[in-house]
Amino acid sequence: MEHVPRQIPRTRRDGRAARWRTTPLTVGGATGHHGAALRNVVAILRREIKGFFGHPLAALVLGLFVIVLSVFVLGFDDVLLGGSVSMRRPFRWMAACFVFLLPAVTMRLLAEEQRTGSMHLLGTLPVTPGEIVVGKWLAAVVLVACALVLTLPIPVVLASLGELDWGPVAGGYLGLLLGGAAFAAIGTATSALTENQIVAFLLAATACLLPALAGAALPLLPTALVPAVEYISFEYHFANLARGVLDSRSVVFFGSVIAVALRMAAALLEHRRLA
Amino acid sequence: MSRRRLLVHLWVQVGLWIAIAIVLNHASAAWFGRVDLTADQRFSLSPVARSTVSSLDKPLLATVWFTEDLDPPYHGHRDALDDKLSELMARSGGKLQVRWRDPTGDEVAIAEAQAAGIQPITYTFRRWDRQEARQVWMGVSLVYGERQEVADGLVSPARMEYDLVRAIRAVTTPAEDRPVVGWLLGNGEPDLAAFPATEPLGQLRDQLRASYRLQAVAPGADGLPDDLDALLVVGPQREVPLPVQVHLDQFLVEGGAVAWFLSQHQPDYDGGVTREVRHGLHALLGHHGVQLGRDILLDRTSNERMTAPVAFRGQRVLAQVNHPLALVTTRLERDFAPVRDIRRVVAPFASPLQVSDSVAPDVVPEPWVLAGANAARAPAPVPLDPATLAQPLPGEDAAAATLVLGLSGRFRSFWVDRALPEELSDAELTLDGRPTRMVVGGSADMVANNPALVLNALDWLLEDAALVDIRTRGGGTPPLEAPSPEAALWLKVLMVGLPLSVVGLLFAWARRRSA
Repeated sequence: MEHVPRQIPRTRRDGRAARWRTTPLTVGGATGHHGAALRNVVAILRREIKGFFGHPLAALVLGLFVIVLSVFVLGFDDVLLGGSVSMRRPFRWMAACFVFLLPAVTMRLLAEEQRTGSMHLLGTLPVTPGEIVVGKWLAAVVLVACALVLTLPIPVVLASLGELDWGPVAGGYLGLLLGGAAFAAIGTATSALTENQIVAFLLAATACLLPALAGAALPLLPTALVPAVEYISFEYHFANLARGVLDSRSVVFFGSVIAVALRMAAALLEHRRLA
Repeated sequence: MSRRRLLVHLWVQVGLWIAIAIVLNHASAAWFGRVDLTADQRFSLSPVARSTVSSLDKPLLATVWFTEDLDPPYHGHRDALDDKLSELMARSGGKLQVRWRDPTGDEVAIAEAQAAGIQPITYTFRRWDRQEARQVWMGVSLVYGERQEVADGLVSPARMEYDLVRAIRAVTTPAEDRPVVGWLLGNGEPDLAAFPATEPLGQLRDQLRASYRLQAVAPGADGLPDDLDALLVVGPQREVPLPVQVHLDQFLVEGGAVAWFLSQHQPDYDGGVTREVRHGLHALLGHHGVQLGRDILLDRTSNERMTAPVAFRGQRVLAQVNHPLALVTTRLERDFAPVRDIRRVVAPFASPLQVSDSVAPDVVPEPWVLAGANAARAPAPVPLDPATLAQPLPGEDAAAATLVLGLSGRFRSFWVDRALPEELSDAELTLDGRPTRMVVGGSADMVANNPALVLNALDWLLEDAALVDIRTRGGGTPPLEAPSPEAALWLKVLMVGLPLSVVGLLFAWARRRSA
């Protein structure tokens, strides 16, 4: 392991004198100090969230998400005329919207930093690539959570029109949060791959589309491949959660996708620095 | 460490992460846990399923005849069945033993499966460039001592638990101990034996036979069979003779359970109007607490498709159309177990029911199913042409109506103060009876359209509520009371406007804060 000691001035919020601290920057691992790593992640998360909400792009993305979802849920597929009190169809539309929403959110996470050169600046700070990636990914997850909160009027209205079972609703939202977090992790990894935001968006959209569509392709596949392809299909795991069954297999699956994608994103950043 | 080695090190680490993820997912498939978040615990083993297998007193051998590697849409059924059987095994204390066999392509195994009562299912599946029909096996045979039973055609994961528990209860209960259910014939009622298994009444017959000893009953001079536990009277088309009515009355008074599904009207396609059915049971049922209405019910907003004469290019043709006389209702009194999990009831040619004044004091009537809020009653006859029915009919009334009533208590004989028919003038009558139950439906066609309701009603009549609870679990989502167009518009404005306003306010606040 290569340790690169650096002394970084840290500005405190209360205005007291900044103190200098030596933080090891390791290759391929977190800082030795878990508390420092957590502080770094939170600092990046706050910076990203501030950037998101101060930027019109996020407003545009969230507004567009609400409008597109409304067109599908209240227009094409009117839930108020559906005859049954269920969130399954709205959940499907939300999941479909996420395939494009998340790449739009994540495309600038690392690509923008690399294009503008601010990644080099970040490299001078006592943060590991892993902390950068996790912080930025968490910011995207917060945005996903915001998007999901904006859809809450749908189940509330449905509950006023019949006996809505809140168990599957909770499962569906958990599934969307996990699926959204997995999409965000994939988007973060593709954003680390390139400096071009459009390329990052297209790569992420393609990478998210494949597991999203895998379920639909099952009838066309050779029988031997069906279990494996079904398992990597987001729809399969999401459907499990959306019908109200919290299955440890689905949680492990989404967790694995997130962990591997984030590790790849961190590795890509480290690779760029080392190459 | 050289830069090149660091890079190799880096990507080996990534490879290790991927390998760990694969191993973790593989392990999680073998050791997993589930939490059922649904309000009715529909994805957990029901109490009746648990008690059924935990009360086994000797080994129960289940042989699962199931084709491996099924194509969609049946590809997940094997796992669903495996999950259910694993849970049942865990609850059986080692009494339930399961073995899996795939008879596909194995002549010896096919012969064994068929000898056990399992039949192959033909289904069509898609390949890249073609559709293929395939014969597959999806059944379980059970052996419990000397007795055998099957749960075959397990094509619905939602019904698997019911099918398995039904079969386990059947195999662990001696055939002679199963309730005997009669189906009244001789007055123009449909004969269940005449329907193929593909038709709704044929399917109902097979479902009845799976749990009960089903018996066609045409009462003669001796009355109804002594061993009858419950009787279904479905759609008599001719006047039920008075001696038969005496036997029906006596069966009920002596503690037999009866389900009546009676239509007052039927379609006359030649005349293009409804025709009255004169079954002559009004007085009998009126005495026992249910007044059969003479009007016909219609619902112009919530209805099902049915065959009706419609005008087409100047001619009258029969076509499948949504029809006000095939009304659909979601207004079910869900406090009662037989309708708790039923989402909707289809009631073609239905008439309203009312609790009559002459109901015995200790008989408790309970309305199970009500007509929809937009239903209306109209004096018969009414035209069959849906275009004519689009406008309000003369004498039409939008009053609420009951479609199914359940009654329980001691029924008093109808013939207490009445002269018996000549053929039975010497008969000894039971005047005050034993406690029992009765169900009355205002449409005979309900039986073919709502088999779950009929089976639940029968279980309720026989006071076997155990199966009622699991038959309709997972049967669908709760119905939605559609709002008026104006209310729907406001709700949509709320559903779109509220989140957009929140987004706007959030960003206005964030920008002001950052400024």
